[in-house]
Amino acid sequence: MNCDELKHQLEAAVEARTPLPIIHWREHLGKCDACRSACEDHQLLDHAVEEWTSFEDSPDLTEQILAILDGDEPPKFSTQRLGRSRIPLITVLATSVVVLIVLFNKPKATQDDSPTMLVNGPAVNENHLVTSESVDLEQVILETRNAYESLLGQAQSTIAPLKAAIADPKHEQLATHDQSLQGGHLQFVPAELEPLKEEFTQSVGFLTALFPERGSR
Amino acid sequence: MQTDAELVTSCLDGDRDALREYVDRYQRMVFSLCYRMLGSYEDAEDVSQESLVRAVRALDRWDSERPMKPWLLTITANRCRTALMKRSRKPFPTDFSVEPGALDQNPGRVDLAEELDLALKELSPEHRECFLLFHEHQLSCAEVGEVLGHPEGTIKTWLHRTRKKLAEILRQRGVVPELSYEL
Repeated sequence: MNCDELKHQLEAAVEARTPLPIIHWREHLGKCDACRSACEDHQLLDHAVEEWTSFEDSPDLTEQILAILDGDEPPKFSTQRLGRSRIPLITVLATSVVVLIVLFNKPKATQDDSPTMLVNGPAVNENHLVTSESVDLEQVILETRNAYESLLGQAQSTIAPLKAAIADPKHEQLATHDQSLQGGHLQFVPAELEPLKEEFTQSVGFLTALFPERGSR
Repeated sequence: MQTDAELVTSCLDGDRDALREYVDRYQRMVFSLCYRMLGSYEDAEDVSQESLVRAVRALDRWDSERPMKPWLLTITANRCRTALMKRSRKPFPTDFSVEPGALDQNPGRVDLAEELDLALKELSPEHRECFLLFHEHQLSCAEVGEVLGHPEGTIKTWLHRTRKKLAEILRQRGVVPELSYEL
């Protein structure tokens, strides 16, 4: 009988939930502190687990669950969780809209002052639009537009299957009452995104009109 | 008593009594895992509710050839992990096991169990889950592996490592083991 053998027997006893025949090891344990300590730990944990007190049922849990399943009562934390779940997407969209608005609400250049408001210099054409010397601003706008389109594309591709799932009568209750499922997470998002989407579409239209040749890239 | 498969069939047929029985049958198991994982009675109630609602709504996807317990515990464990991630910036509750009404009080024998609860909170969530699923919920190592998504060998390693760590913590907390040859 050696330490390795004891270690294996200990592990096997844990995995099989069987008592360790410790009496057979009495002699070895008398002279091996490490094995004695391992056996003490083993017994200590087994006793602790045995003494683990059981839980009382949560008295209202069954009723709460049945109420949710019946659709009698929305989950108490639904608003909070839904709020959290849609914050990142809406924040990104809203920030992008603000950037676009700021960019396009700048006063239009006049013949007199236009050179000072352009990024790279004085060159403007007769329609107050940028020329080749002020490509930087144009580039920024173009990149913003592309990023925005990409973002909206992602949002739409995420929302499309969820819309379909919500429309499915089988998931109707799910979409209405279970904030923790995907349908529940995003069921309010399309409506909330509509104003942003419209604003974005207008901005894109404006950009396309402004840079028709670049828009076709 | 109806088998799980019979009960689920009745639930799927819209039998409200069957639904009640299903929830009654498993709520204690779900709640206890949530409570041990989250350490808060209120959070455990919320996550238990969420887990059971989710499970009931997914009953049509349960494979009746397989046991209900690991399937339901997998859902619960996932919800617990999500809850833990969401509050990862908040401090873990220090008062782990003495909330009024949370436990069946058993004077004289509760100390060691309380010490074990306190020691458990010092483990990583994965090791804590592994220990709870094996010891409290009596799953086999293979079933624990299924729930946690790891091979059985990994679970065995975690289990032994966790037991060793817990024993160390208990010793550090002044719980002195005494070897008994009477088993």
